[in-house]
Amino acid sequence: MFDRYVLVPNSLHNEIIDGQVVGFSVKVRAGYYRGFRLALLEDLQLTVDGLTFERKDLALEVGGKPARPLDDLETEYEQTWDFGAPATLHVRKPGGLEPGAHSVIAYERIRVSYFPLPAEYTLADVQVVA
Amino acid sequence: MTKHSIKRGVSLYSFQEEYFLRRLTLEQCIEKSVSVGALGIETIAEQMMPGFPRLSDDFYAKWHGWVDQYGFVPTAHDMFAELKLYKDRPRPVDEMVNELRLDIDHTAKLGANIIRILALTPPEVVDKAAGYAGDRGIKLLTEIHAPHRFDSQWMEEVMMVAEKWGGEVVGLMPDLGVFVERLPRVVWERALRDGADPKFTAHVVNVYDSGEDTSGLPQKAQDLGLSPATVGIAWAATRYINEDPRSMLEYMPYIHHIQAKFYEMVDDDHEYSIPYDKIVSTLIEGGYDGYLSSEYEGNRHIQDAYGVDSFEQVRRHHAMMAKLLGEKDAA
Repeated sequence: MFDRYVLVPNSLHNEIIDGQVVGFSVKVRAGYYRGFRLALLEDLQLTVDGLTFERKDLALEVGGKPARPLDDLETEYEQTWDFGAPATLHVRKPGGLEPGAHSVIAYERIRVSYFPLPAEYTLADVQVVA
Repeated sequence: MTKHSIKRGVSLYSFQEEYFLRRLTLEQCIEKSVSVGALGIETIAEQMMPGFPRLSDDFYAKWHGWVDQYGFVPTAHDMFAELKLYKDRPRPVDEMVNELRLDIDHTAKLGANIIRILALTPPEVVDKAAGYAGDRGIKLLTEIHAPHRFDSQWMEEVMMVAEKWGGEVVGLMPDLGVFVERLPRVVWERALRDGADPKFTAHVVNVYDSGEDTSGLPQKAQDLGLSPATVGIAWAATRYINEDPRSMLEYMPYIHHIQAKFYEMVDDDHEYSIPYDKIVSTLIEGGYDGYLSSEYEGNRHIQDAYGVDSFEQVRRHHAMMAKLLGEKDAA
């Protein structure tokens, strides 16, 4: 429903910890039309320049709480991802991304109570690392 | 015109695009609604009230401040039964009953008296919460939403619970998306932009609009080896339904709220796909006295190509409804 807004524009950045580039992050929004409990987030995938990162290398930071691996969120039955609220997706990639433009594709799959199939949202975008 | 007591309102669902993009706040959505004479406000807490179901007293105090300031009536709260919360097992009924009680408390705190029960919520859940709702003056109305029809097995089960508790506690909330006479133009135009085969899309539209059976269309598109977008529009055509508005008449004692779904107001007089003239005259005939609560759902079909202006769509919708309701000031 909100596929085209899944990636927050201009939000791709390398992440530096203790002087080391440990990876990068990008801000994402859920494509669904209401806030929902995180357990309903079945999958979140990120593809940069044709390479899809492994699920174990992703962590999602929602609502100002510390980032957590996606597998942990599968049993998060309380905390919500609010409607339209950007969350930060952290990706482990030593060395980070080269400066310049990158093709970025985000994919989300969310379980929906009243629909036979899960809802899927995809957005392909280009973002620039400064 | 026959005398009636039908009132106009808005579900803030209509402004989801603007709220999502943080172009309108909850308060601004209310202000916009009231400005077109939509004095009944229906809300989706999980959309625009972050923190639900544990909202603070401050939130409710602010809400009632807006009620006084803008002069609106809180009408309905839309609940969602989270049937699939667990990946590996079904949701126990008692958990859903407990959550519905939180919905009931929230609705009472808003000063509203209606809850939209999501289609496919087990009637047993409604049954087990109905006493709690009735004690608080809250009605539990199950939505009648495409593709579920008035005469389905599902409806029979819903009606058994409604008859047990009586229409003042448990009833129905038709979504006018069950009366889609013509396949919404915004839907098939989007399919074309997504690369659907024009010839087959025209066929899909003709089959739907002539009232023929659409169920074989997706398979046909697949057999012809057509693109995913083409199969998609064929499948979409199986999800819309065109019931006779008069089918509401036998359920009138159970209908206390209506989600006035619309996809595209072409001007101040017409919705492209839903026959509002027939619907409003049927409601007047049936003595309906609740709200027609606008539910704009066109944004998702046009946002790829056009700027979404939900407010202009809602304004036109209310101009049309005011005329159909014979309101004096209607142009």
